[in-house]
Amino acid sequence: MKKKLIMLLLLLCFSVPILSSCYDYKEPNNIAYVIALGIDKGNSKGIYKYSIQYARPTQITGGTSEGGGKGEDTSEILSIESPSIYSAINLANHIISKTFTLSHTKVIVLSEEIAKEGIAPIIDAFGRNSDIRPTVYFCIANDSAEKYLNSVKPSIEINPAKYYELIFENNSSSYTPFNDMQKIYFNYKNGLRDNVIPYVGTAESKEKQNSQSNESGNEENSKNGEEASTKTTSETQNEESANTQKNVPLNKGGFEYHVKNYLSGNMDIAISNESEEIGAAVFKEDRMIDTLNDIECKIYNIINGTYKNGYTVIYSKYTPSSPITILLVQKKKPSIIVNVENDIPQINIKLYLNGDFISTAYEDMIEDNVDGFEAETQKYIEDAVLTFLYKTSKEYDSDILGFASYAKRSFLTYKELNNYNWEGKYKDAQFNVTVDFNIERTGLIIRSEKNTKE
Amino acid sequence: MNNKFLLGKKELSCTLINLITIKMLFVYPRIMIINSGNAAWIQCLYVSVIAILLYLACIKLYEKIGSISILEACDKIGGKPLKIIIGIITTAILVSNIAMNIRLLPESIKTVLLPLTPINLLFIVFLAAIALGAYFGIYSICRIHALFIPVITICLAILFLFIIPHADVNNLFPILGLGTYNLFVTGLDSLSIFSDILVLFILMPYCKNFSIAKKSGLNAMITSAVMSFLIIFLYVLVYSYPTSTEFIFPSYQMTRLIKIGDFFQRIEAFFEYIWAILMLLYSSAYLFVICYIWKEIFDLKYYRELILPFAIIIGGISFIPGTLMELYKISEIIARITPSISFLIPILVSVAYRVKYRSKITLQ
Repeated sequence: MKKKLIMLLLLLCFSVPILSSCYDYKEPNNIAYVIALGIDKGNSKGIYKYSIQYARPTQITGGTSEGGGKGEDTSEILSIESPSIYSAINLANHIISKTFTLSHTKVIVLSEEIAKEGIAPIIDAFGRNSDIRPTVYFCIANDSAEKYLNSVKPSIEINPAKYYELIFENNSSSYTPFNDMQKIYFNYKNGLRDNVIPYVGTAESKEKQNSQSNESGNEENSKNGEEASTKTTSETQNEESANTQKNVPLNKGGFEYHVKNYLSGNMDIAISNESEEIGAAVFKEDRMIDTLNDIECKIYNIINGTYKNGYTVIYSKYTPSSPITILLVQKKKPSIIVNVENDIPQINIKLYLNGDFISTAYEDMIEDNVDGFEAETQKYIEDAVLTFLYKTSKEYDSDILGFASYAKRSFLTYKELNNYNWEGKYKDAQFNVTVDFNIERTGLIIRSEKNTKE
Repeated sequence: MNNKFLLGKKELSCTLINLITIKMLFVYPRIMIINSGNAAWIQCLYVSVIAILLYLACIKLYEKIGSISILEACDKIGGKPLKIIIGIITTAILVSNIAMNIRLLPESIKTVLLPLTPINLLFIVFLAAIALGAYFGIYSICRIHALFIPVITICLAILFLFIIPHADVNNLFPILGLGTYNLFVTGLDSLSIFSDILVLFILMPYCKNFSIAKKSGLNAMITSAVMSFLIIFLYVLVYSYPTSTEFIFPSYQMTRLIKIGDFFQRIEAFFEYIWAILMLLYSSAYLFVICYIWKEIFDLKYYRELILPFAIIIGGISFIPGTLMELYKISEIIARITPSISFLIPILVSVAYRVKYRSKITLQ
């Protein structure tokens, strides 16, 4: 017994130096955690400017009021020009006393300039290294990635990493797409789906974006729902004057009626935090070709099946002066069937949505005509979805919704799929959209009565 | 042999399951996907059915020999020369199997966990551990297998459950992947997953009786087939072709996706722990079996003295491929050669035995 005890003690003593590790030991005190990484074009060809936003843990105490610093104090940004991210990290290790690690990186921001030239040279480094999480968020900055990172000054969140997490992965924020690095990498490599990446920006670059969003907004307005466009002249004049004032176009379609066509950088919302995260960048292969505004992003999320819930404003002919607000919920994932029997692909989409009344109009009891409201909402959603889908095929020629992966079902082998040449045929695809929309609840009021004086 | 040291159904089944399935946690899913594309799961099903049928044929033919090892049977058929020849061929198959796999664990640990630690150091520690395992003998190894395999299977099942939300049914299409020729002709190479069943015919004397050995083998084949299928099916569902051919450790790559809320992330660290345990058990069992073969063919009294030399030889062979890429190429070549020999040896020996002892007298 005594001998066994001695043996056990000896074993424990010998395991101490082994378990303490040697070559790969990492003391948390010696590590600088990179929270976000911005990538801009450098001054020379093949050189990038890497902006490393790293945490200052001493400033983060866990609370918003006691002890800790402000959102802006909890991180710092270091910008380095280098040919690759890892050489930038090497250089940064000589500037900051601690060693940088990418294992806790939350977001990678690329400048629009790089995105338009192609992200292929950059994306491989992130897929190959085990240090970076596959679930890191990826986004495109409307101006410069460095400027965006500098503009992130969360007012109610101390920890910038938490801020990114809440911004990019919020079930109620349907105005941006959800896409992590791994999905972007796969989409690019598989060639079955073009990427849609969240678009971020700074409030400073408003003017630049205004001109772009005006153009895209006007175009959309002309295409959207017929019902909503039958308005009085005074209403139209009011809208136009509002547009001129705010310089952000209003959506005139029945779906998300009178919601502004926001895109990061053009938001007219006053807040100390200048960073904006709304809209998306559209890619064709590895190059950015256009942007989607907030409403288009919402439609994208609905078709994609990644939409969870969100407040939605619907125009109703029964209450023309006051639109109805509903909580729009995706009941289940859309059913998508792609028919490739002919040379022109037929894409049939069925969307399953529910709605709860959040606020209705005072002049009419919409509860009395729920069926009528459901029918017109269905029509608005169908119109908006069709307009969006034809934009992706005719204008972008970019299969951002991954219909190719549904088309695969009709083929037995990859050889047959390649022979069909989906990429060449998507431009001519015909869409057929049906919406299953029901009002499920009316909130706490089951039937709103008219004012007795009326 | 003393009954106290005979292996039961559970011990033997668990050991064989580990020997067969461990490859699915390393390179095999990738090899199968390179061959058949996203139809690798069909290939796995097809190969499993063939392997089970081959096993049933082997064990049926082996019934006449009974619970003596394949080497002893060779001795009875063709004397010592045949025993030595078969022993050396078997050793060659087992050494080629273990040498490639044994290199993978230190390499994987270096790639994902300890990038700065020299591979030699990791390898020496690993070799020392498996040598110690082999020293304790087959009974200890199988008992630990019986202890760990059910727990690890449950843990893996839970881990893989969390990957299901990342699955996409569209990844299964086109249903025949790269075509029927790849699936049903060149796909036969994957029979090598089950080539380790050869170990059962070597460990026969350690089994309580032939019936237990037969049932354990069948259990192991079916369980391994189910596990292999589930791993490859899930991998195909999660990663679409051709991206699925890119990853060096497919199962590890899947576990990297697990994220339960904000707090439970980086679950792959737990998976690495499972990897290490399974690999240590696998390598110890293999090292023991190789030493046992040599003890048998050269009629040595003890096997323990052979452990260190064989550990060094296997270690040396595993370092012949200079890089991980070369290791993968060689693994693929070995995968093509070993299955046919592994299933052929028991069949040939059994047939030869039947021919020689037509008088229906079993040696038992």
